[in-house]
Amino acid sequence: MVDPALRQQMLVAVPHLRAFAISLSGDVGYADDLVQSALMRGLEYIDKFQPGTSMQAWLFTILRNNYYSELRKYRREVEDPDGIMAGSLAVLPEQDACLDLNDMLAALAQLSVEQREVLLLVGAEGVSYEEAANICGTTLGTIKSRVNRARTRLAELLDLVPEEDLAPNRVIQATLAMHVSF
Amino acid sequence: MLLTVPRRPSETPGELQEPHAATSKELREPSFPPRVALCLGERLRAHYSQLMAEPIPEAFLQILDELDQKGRVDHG
Repeated sequence: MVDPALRQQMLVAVPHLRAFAISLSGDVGYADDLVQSALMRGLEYIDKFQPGTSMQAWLFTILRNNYYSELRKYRREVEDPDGIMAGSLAVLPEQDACLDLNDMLAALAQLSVEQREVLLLVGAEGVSYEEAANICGTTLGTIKSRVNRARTRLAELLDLVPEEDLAPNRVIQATLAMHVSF
Repeated sequence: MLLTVPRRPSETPGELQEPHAATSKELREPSFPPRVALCLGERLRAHYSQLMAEPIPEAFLQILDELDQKGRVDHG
């Protein structure tokens, strides 16, 4: 029997896993499959979980590894250059901010999967760069680089800033700061 | 692998999980305008909290509950 405390930790992690999976895959139905299989694997290998570490991070690792292995298996398009994934996003039920939500999903879908996952982990989940590196099985430098690229690209996609204003030029940045400070 | 530019001729399975190490060039990223970063962060978190606020599908609760009950039977 699984320790009730561990079960509780898994339960608490479910909304996080689900938000992560939906944002990562862009598909609510598929995301739920990913969450379900992460939970089942987590329960199956619960003995491997190290008490005192983050259950959520552990389940994130299981979920994203499974997602990547399915990507490999089915050779899904990762970069989605033609916007296939972006164009076939599952539309969520009507909500006040529904438009914003689908805008964000569509924009996220245009990032590479590596950029998407790191932006979600660091930018939305608020995990540290170190923990993101552990979850993604890569180095701190790679994570930082991906975050930078991902947020630059996402800002462009969401029209938060004209592309030329993202240039590494202090004059341009100063000009931008002037414009946005109104 | 890390680039968004559309010049990936083909996807080979091995590429998916094996990012190349960050080079010194990649580490010298252009700095990001703080206000844009702030705005982007807010949009991302708003998106995320909207997803988080959705009810947990019953199936997930059942997975955890069934296992618990099965465990009790095994132990009882």
